[in-house]
Amino acid sequence: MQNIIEMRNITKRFPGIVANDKITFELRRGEIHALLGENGAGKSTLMSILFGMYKADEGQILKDGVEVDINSPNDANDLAIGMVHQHFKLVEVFSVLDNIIMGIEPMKNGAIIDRKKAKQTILELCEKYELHLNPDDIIEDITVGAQQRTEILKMLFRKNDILIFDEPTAVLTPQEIRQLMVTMKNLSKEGKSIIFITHKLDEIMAVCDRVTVLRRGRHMGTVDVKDTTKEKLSNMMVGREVDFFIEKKPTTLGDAVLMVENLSVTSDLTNKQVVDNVSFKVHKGEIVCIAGIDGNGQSELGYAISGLLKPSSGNVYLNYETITHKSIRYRNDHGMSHIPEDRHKYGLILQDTLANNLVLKKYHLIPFQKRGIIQNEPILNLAEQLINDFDVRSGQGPKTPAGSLSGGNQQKAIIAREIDKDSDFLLSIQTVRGLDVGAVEFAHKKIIQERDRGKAILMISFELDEVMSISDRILVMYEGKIVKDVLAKDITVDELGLYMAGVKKDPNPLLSFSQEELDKMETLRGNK
Amino acid sequence: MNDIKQKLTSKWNHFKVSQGFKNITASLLAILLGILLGIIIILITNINNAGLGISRLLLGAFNNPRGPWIGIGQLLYYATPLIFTGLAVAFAFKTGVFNIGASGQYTMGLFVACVIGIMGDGLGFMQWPIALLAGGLAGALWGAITGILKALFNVNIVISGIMLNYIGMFVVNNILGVPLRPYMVDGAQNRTVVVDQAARTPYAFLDKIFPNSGLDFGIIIAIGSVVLIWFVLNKTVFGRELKSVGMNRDAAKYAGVNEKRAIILSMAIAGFLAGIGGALFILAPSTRNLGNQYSLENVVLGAGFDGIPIALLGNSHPVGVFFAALFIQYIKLAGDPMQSLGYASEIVNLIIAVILYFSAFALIVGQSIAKLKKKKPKDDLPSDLVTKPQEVNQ
Repeated sequence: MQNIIEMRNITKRFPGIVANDKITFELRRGEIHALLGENGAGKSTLMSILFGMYKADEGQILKDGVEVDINSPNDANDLAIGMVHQHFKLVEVFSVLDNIIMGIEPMKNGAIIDRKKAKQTILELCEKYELHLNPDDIIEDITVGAQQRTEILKMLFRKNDILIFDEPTAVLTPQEIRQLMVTMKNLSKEGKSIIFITHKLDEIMAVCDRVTVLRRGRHMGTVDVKDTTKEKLSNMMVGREVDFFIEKKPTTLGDAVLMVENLSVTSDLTNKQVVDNVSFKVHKGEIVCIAGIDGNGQSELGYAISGLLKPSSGNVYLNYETITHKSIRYRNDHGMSHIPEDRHKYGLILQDTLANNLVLKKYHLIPFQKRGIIQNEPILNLAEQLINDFDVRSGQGPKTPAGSLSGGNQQKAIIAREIDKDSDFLLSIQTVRGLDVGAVEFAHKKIIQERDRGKAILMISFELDEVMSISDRILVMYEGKIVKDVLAKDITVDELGLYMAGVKKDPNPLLSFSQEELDKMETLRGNK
Repeated sequence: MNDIKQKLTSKWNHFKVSQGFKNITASLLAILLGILLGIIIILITNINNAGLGISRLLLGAFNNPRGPWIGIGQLLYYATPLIFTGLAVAFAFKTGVFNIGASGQYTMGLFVACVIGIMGDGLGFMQWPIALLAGGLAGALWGAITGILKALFNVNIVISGIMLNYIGMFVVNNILGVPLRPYMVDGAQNRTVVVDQAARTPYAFLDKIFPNSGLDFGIIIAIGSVVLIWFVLNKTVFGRELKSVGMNRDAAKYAGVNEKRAIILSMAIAGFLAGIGGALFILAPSTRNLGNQYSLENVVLGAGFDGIPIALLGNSHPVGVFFAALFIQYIKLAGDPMQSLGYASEIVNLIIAVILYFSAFALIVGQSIAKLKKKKPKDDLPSDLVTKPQEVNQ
């Protein structure tokens, strides 16, 4: 088979790091070629070079055996290279059709957009590749899967032959993933060549012909999928054996630490109930995981519990005390730890030092301050201890600016800070987002340790793998409601997918307080 | 001996790569470019007198024919209000707020201190401290209004600040112009009369060291304030909270800081500083104890606006602000001597403007370099996780 794209000895350096080190990558016509690697392995850099967003320092790119110069995504498009980005590039308020033809609108009479002809072409493409889409739907009304199909159609409409998919399955339900796999197979049957960026081994085994593995900017090898196994691939990718299964001891449930009662959050923008009458409890010694597709109200639920957002109605109880209207600092100081969804926006002050970030929720407490004066020594001691215990790697120890840490180490620093608070309740949102396999393993181990120490843990995750591997109990959220409350061992991934997609729903589980719990709440209120 | 040398070298090496060093070099570069432009303009406008013109420009405060001590004294005296407005802008900036309203706060401080300085006859020897403090509080109130508007109603701080500059100036001019006119205004000059003897800040022997320069106790208060503000920002829990709001408002909120309260307090303190600056101006005994006057013109006072380049040039660091204020005043003092040679004294303003541009430019260049550097680890991070440069609330 003939190579449609050859990237030879590509080297790309960024200050202080070689992102791509003499990488050679060959794409054959009509194949599905996986690009596998951990975060920071250089996958995105390599594809950004192919797509014209970065310029390689060394090396050459050949298309059909002819050397080409790709300086911008427009050049890439002229060479029939298209890309589906991880975060879709769509105009939310436009129709599917308008998004597809944007920039290359077919004209009639030289000035008027020929929508009829465009629609015709799109429908033909839909039929040919079995993509189910209505060109007149508005993007914000359709599912994430349909939005992705729009992105695919955008490439097909531009007659791209080389299709790059950047982690396309991260946002999809299992059912949608299967559909995407079929689509990819269809595309390759029609002669399209596909590059599939991923770190999910199952997907590679299911659909790809060959796989190229990168590790720390180097090319570790290219193998035929039929000649390899998941274990071999993960070994190539990480350089060591990886535990796919997390060991968990059975635990006994203690008192309810967090109770959420009929909680609703109304969106300022749309006036919709993004969190709709949600009730549940989290007990000591269990990990409860809220599963669901991004955008079903999980983030808002997390904000309402942590205090970053005011709920419109309902109550949150922490250790039987109502904290619905308490300040964030009060929650921080009274037994709530919170690993936030967005570590750059909320989790860290990037310009500040690692030490100051590690003490971010404690510097107002003794011994870190005395009579309002910051005490440097205890802060540095704490920082050094946490850096040691949690293996946070940094250039200058406690004095390193948090922004110069790698993503994994930033997250480690946040986890260190939140676990060090020794709170009864830990809220952890998207804990492993953007982390590589090693860091994921680390984070999960730490969280399970906390559970074994009798902490109550609530996780919110958009990644099914994470949900299935770590939780004791799963709550599925769909359109702001909890549609399923089930023990992790009692449900399969497929069934979970049906709940996540809203196909199956259980009635909203009602929260009932035991007499003992009511008594405790009453005593606390009486004490106030 | 060698030990000390080694220690110093290692300290110097450490400092050489620090952010502070970069900031200082950037500021010095901006100053150099500004002065270079001033020299070019002098050369273009009148080449015959250029040698003398350039030397007068560079001599700044030392142009005074009566000797360098008077020059230094005058420099410190005139710089005193500027140190305060510079601090007012810098302090707010540390909380991520752009205090363009320092002029209004300065005017309010000046006005209230002036009222007490003229009408507070019964206060005896406490007249000047009370007038000073009341001036500070008036400025604090004016600053707090901006802060409250921002925190509670999300009103753009630049807009409310500019508007309050005008509101402040017209309120003051109207109160002085109508109800208080008989008591406080010298009708012939359309200026306030000078404040009572007891209301004037003492010379505190500074007139012995710098005779005839007008320098008074105000400069001591200014230096004390620089130290105090540095201490608050760097050593206290309160300062840490304000700075965390300035560096990342969301993270500060997440960590439990009441960021609305922080913005209001920060603006109130900034206003207090500017107000003290205004009060010290009007309460100053000035040369030969003649006192200062406020002129009832409908012009927003420049001292507040000067705080902006001073804060920028001083990189919002209190000590930096101190030296930046001295420098700006140094150059300003070159204005009149140059005018007597036929050069427009506005050349000085031009130089200040150029310095402002270049220090802002240095800030932007620094930020974009930092941004470029940050691109490397983002490789596989989702795009919304990529660091954004520090945003300033407006």
